[in-house]
Amino acid sequence: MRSRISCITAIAWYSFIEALRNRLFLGVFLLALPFAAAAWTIDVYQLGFQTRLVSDAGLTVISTLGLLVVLFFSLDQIIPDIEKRTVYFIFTRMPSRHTYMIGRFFGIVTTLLCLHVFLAGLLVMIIKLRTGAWFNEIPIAGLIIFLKQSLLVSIVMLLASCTSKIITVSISVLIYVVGHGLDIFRMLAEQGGNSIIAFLLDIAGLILPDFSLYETRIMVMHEIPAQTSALLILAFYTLTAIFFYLAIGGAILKHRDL
Amino acid sequence: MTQTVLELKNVSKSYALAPGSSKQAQGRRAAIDNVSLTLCAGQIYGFAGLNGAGKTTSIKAALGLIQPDSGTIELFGAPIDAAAFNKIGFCPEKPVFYETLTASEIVDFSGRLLNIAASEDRKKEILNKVGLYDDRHKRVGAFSKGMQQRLGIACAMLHDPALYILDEPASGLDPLGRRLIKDILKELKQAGRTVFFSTHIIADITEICDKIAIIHKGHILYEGGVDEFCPEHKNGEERFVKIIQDYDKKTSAAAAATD
Amino acid sequence: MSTQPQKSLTSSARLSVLSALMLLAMALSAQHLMKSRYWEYYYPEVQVANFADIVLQTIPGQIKSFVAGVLRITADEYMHIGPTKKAKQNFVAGSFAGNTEIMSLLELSVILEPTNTDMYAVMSHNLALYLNRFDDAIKLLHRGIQANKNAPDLHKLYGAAAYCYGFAKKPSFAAPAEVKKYREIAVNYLDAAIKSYLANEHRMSPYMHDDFANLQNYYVMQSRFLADVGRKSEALAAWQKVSEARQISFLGHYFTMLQQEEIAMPDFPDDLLTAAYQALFQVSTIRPPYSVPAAYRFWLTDPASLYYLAIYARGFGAPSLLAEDCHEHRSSELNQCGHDHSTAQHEHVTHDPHLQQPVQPDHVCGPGCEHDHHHESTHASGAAHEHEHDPECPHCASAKSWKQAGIPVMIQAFLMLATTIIIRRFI
Repeated sequence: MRSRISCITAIAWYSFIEALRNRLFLGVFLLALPFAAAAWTIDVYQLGFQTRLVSDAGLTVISTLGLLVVLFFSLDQIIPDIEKRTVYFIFTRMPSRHTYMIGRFFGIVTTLLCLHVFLAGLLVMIIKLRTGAWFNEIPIAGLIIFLKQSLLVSIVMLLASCTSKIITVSISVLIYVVGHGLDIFRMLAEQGGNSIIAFLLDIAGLILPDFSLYETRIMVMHEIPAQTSALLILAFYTLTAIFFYLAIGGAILKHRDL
Repeated sequence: MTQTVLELKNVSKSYALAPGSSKQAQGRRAAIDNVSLTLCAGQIYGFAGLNGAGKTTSIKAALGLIQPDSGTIELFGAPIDAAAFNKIGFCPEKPVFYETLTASEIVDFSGRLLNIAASEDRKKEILNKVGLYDDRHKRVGAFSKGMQQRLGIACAMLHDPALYILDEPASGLDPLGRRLIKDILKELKQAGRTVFFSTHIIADITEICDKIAIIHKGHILYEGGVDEFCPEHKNGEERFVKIIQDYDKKTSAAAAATD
Repeated sequence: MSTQPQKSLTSSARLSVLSALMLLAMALSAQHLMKSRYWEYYYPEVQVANFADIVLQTIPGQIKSFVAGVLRITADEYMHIGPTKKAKQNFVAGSFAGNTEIMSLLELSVILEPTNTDMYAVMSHNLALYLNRFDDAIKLLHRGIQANKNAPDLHKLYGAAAYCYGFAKKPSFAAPAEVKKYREIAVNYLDAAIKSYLANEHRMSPYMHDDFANLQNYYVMQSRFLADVGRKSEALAAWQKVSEARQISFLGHYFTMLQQEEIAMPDFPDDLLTAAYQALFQVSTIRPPYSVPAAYRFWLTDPASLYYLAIYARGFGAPSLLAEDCHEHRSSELNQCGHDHSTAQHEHVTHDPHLQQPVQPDHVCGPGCEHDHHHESTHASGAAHEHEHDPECPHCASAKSWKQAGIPVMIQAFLMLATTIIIRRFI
């Protein structure tokens, strides 16, 4: 057990270091600056600081940049490892390939966490300085976005363990988009009276993640505080889904010839 | 009786042929076919073969990096187990590391994966041995092929394992680098370690090894002591070429007969 | 021996990707083909020489149009949400009047899609009449006119300019000379609007109809402003063009007096309304021009709107994110301000007696609140939430919807957990 934890922390730490030293990550961080500046430049009529607009746009930027990190860094972690045979160095020194998946996952999630903490913190501070009020919905929305993107990381890693980059990106984006509207598709199928499709969508709903649960817009726009119990349930759901997808990815990797 | 450290019994592995290949109609190509090897503790075992003979496939099967189609593999008398990795130091043919990490960090990483805390002295010792101590803070992305090879060997040596499995350790090295590797292998031999390394340079095998196996087109053509293979360690290369040519003649004659 | 790297795409996967791309290309081409046939009808201001021009024009145009649409939808959402609770802002939910949040979004949408004339009207009204940016409003409208010179609905921009000039200065708070000067300019714009409308009437499609920017309204405004600037005979002539149904109004009453040459008729039609205005503002603390007292207004946080917000949010599948639950509603202020208040929420602008009470910032109704008597009186019996849960009760429906969303989530989570354990154990 101790050796597994040691492996996981080692892989996670060095994955994180790798990401930090990646110029792409620096580019993503720096992208936040023009977006932040845009909040002032679009105030054409000098109407002052618009809190709702800034918080909405800020969370959208955080979500978008997080998505970029998820797609680029998740892909850059596993597929090149296998293609360039960097995994030989790791797999011949550690207990199991599952451990590798978990370690890599934590490395990417740590990178994502740093990005989110930095950007969300910046947003909260900007709003606090301009309005004098603490908008607590923003860190909570940031947490929910982080959970959603962590789940997406696990899906990308699952796909990366068995397919190429282009298929991984395509299917990940498809799952992300469909996952946001799964309940709508289900509702449409039920309303349309098609029980077979509704049943199939129910099955798909059990396997695919339901990203519509991570909807934060209403909470932030209407400034409604989130229920703690709901957040805990969401976190539990996210963790179980993450380990489910990582377990499948690990099993695929285990039986894959390198 | 010395302990058997590594044993392959009738191990076979075939791969699907790529679409567009001229042999596509055949479906699969055997990379190794009924390969059997035995390595005892304290031996230096040379695994020789031409390029594409099946050396790397055999090593990968031995380490569990690929699943063989048939046969059994035992490490230290038991089937492949993750616990055995602590006793093995492996260096692949072309070791590839994370380019943004430094040599020192790679060695640290290697230690942490093995759940050992490599002390600064130990790191200094092995990096000095492979001649990379002065470049320890350089990123691996800036390393030459030879430097990466030496770093791979350093990582294999970090935990002083009982068994070394090295896939063409001298590949990509200049003459000085090759000399360094040979010296390391001789040191390991004197220290009583077991080393299994593959190469297509027969001279290296005849100089250092106790035992030799020749693989060609996935088949083991010869396995035995180096002294039997080439008495007085001379003409090893001629003997090697002759064994391979004899095999090729036999197989082409058999193929002609069936046609 | 080195193994070949595995081929990442099988030939069938490659084929399917290529097929999908080909289908997409065919769909786009067919769309452009159809559009090119009716190009002059849809985009009369853009002259196209050949098909390649159409492709080059439309793809970026469609992307820009899509983004502009998203910005407009977001602005609409902001408008309906209303002001941020923590930041005290000078506008209300459900109207763009004074709304500063939407302006940047609409400005961007106008830059991306300059042919959307409706946005110019919304923005110019807001700037000129509520945000004290009259010059910016007129500059914006001029930009729109330049960008839409050949558009069939150009009249809307002239109409919007006329509206801004006409109502920027009102007799109740501006000097008569200034009012007349602005309304003279408004008349000129109205002439241009009417001329443009009549010239392009044959090019207008049904979806271009506007409740405000139509010929009848232009005639009404024209006759009113002409009367304001003293050109009474022209005003009367313009009034004759107004339909009979529209003539029944205060303005109609004014023109009746004018026709009958009544001595006691006031100088401005607005003066007829003075008595009505005075009656209005006796019960309201709103003083013209539009202003807000320092304290946070009670009717900006109407609990009924919060109640509907809860229903809205739950209906959108985000039940877990709300603090209130159905059981808590029984004792919350929402319980006191139940269904019946929903009908009153449109009337509270002028008739809500709350407005006479001194208000605390962020004050909402709670049990024991001095507004209780009013709430109780507006309740029909049985509307409060201490009743047993009726199947039709929306609070109960919303509580059910949270459970409906939560149970499948937990089932899925436990199934995934069980599968993970099985995979790790056996595979």
